Amino acid sequence: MIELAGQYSDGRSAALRAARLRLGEESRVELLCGDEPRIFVLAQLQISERLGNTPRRIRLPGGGQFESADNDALDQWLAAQGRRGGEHWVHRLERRWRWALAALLISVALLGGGIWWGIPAAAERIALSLPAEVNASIGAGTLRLLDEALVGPSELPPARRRALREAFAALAVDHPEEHLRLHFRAGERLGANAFALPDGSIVVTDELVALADRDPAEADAEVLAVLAHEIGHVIRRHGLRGVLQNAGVVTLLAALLGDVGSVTALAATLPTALVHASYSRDFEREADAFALALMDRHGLPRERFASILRKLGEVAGDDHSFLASHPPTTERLQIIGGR
Amino acid sequence: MSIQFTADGREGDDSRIGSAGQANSGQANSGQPGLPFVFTGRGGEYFRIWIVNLALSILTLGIYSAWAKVRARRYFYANTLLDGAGFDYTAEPLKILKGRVIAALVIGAYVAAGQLYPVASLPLVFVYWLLFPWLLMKSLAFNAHYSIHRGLRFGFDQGVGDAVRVYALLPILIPLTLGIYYPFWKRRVAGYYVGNHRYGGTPFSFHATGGQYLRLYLTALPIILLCGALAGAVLAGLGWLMESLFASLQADAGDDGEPGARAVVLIQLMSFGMVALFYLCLLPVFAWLRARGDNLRWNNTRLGEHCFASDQSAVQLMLIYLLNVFAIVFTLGLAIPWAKVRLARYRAEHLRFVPGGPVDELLAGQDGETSATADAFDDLGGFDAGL
Repeated sequence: MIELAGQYSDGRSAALRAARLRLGEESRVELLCGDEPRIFVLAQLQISERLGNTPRRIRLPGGGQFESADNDALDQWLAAQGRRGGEHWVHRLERRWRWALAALLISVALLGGGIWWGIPAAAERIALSLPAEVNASIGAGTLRLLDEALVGPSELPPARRRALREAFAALAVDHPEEHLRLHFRAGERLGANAFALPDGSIVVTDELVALADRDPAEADAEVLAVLAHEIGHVIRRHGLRGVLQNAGVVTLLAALLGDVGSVTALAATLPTALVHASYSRDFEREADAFALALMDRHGLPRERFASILRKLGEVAGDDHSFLASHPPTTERLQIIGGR
Repeated sequence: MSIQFTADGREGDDSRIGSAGQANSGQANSGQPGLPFVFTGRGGEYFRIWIVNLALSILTLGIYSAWAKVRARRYFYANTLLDGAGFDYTAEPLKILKGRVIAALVIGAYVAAGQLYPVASLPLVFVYWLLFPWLLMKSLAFNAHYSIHRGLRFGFDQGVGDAVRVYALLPILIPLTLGIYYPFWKRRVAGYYVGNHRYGGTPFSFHATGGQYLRLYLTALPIILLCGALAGAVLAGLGWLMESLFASLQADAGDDGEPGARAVVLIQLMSFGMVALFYLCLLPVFAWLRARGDNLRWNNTRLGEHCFASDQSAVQLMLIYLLNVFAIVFTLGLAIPWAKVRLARYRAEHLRFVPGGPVDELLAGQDGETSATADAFDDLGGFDAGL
C-alpha cells in the first residue's frame, strides 16, 4: 500500500483541495478527499509522464484531476503493477548527468558534421539537379545594382575587348547551356577584380586586364585563368548553393536552439557568420580546381593562374579585393603548383 | 485585510489549498498586495532535459522536436507556481508536429512560388498577409486550450475578423502615420491577445489606453536615440579600426603582398565582434521596452474581478540579458538552459496575482471542457503553427 499526498481539483472550479491517493494491489486506486473515498482502477487513469521533479498529473474519469509531487512512490507502484515504462525512458536519460554528457557529445558531433559536410553536400545535390534558370534567378538584377553603385563603364580599347571576348568564347564553348557572357567594367572602388553572377554573367574589371597586360606575352592566358575560375562559380552553382547552405544553417540552428527569447536567440545564431566565411572559402577552392582542369583542357599553362594571383596579391589594397573572401594565396599557389 | 483570497463562505473545510493565510504571507514577504508567482525550475535539471531532447531531435532529423517542445514547455509551466499550484501543458506532440508540417508547407510553398514564378509574388504576399493572422490565432487557441491551472483549462476565443484587423489591416496605418500609430497598434495587439483569453469560463480583459502606450514609447524615445547613436558610433569606429588594421597588416605582409591566413581570421573575428557589439548597444532598448511593456500589459490585465501586478525593472532585465548573451556566446550555446531558467525566474518573481474575491469561485467554461469532450477541439482542426 502506497499513499500519495497531493491536491485534487474537480475540473469544474478552480478550487483545490488537499487529497490523498491510495495505491493498492491489483491496480486498485482510492482517492481520499473529503467525504467518500472514490475507487478507480489504473486503466481508468491518465498519468502524465515524469519530467524532472515536476508534480505528476493524474486525470480521473469525470474530469477531476489529482496532482502529486511524490514521483518516486508513484513510479515504484507503477512498476509493481507491471506497467511498462513506469519510469518514462526519456526521463531515465534526463535524470543522469552521464546520459546528458552522451547527449551533448552526440549533438556536437552530429551538428558539426551536419554543418561542415551534411548541409554543403545536400545543397550541392539540390543545386546541381535544379535547372540553370533557378540558379540564374538568385542574381537577377545584381549587375544593374553593381552598375549603379560600384562599377563604371569600361574604358578598354574595343580591339582588346574583342580579343578577350573571342578567347572567352573558346573557353565557354564547353558549356553552351549556361549562357556564359563576358562583361567589361571599370572597377573603380573594386579595383582589379572579377566576379561571376549566378545567371552566367561574368564581369572583369579594366584594372585586372591592365594588371595582366603588364606582361603582354602572358596577358590573355592570365585573364583567362581568372575567367575560368569565375566560370567555375557559375557551373558549380555556387550562387544557389550559398543561398541553400546559409538558409540550411540558420534554419537548423533556429529550429534546435531557438525558442529562447529574441535577444538570446540572436546570440545563438551569431556563429553562422563564421560558418558562412568557411563555406565561401570552400567555393573558392572548388572554383580554383575547376579553373585548373579547364585550363589543362584548353592548353593554358597553369603557371599563368599562379602569376596573376601573385600580381593580384601585390596590388590588393582594400578589403574589396579579389582576394578578400578567398583562401590564402600561398595555399592556392601550392595547390596550383602541386598538380 | 482587504484581500480575501478564499473568502467564499464555506466553513469547516480546512483541507483546501490556497488559504487566506498564504495570501497574507505573500503580502508579508514583499510588502505588496497579492500572491507572488514563484519559479522553481533549476538550470542543471533543465540542462539535462534540454540536451537529451536536443540529441533525440537531431537523431530523428527533427521529428522528435515536437516532443521536445512539449517537454520543455511542461517543465516551465509546471515549475511556475501561483499560491502553491503549478501550471500544466498537455498538448499532444503529434498535433504540434502536424502544426509544424502545415507551417513548413505554407512557408515552403511561398518561397518556392516566389523563386519559380516571381510574377506570382505580389498576389501571394497578399494571400499570406491574410493567412498569417489566421495561423497566429489558431496557435494561440491551441496553446491556451492545452494550458491548465488548478484543474481548469485556459481558452482563447477565436475571432478571425479581429485577428485580420489587428495583425493585417491596422499595421497599414503605421507607415501612413509615419510611425505615430505604432504605440496604438501595440495596444490593439495586447488587447487582442489578452482580451480573447479566458481561464475556465472567466474572460481576461484589457484596460490599457492608447495614451498609456503612447507614453511608453515616448519615454523610450531618448533611450532609443541614445543607444541607436551609440550603436552607429561603435559601427563606424570599429569599421575605421578594421580598415587601418587591414592596411597595416598589408604593409607588414611579405613580398607577395599576401595578408596571410592569420589576418583573414582576425578580420572575420572582428566583424563578428562588431555585430555583437552593435546588438549589445541596443540591449538597453530591448530590455526597457520588454520590462515596461510587460508591466503595462500585466498591470492592465484583469481576470474577472482579479488583477495582476508586474514590476519588472528595465535595468535588472538588461543585466540578465547581458549575462545570458555573454554566457551563451562563450559556452557556444551550452548556457541556454540556465539563461532560460534565469529569465523565467525573474519574470515570475516580478509578477503577482491580486485576487479581488474568492478564486475558488472561478468556474470552468460553458463548453464543458472536461476530459471527455476535450478532443472535440482537435476535431475542429486545432494546431500550433509555432508562431
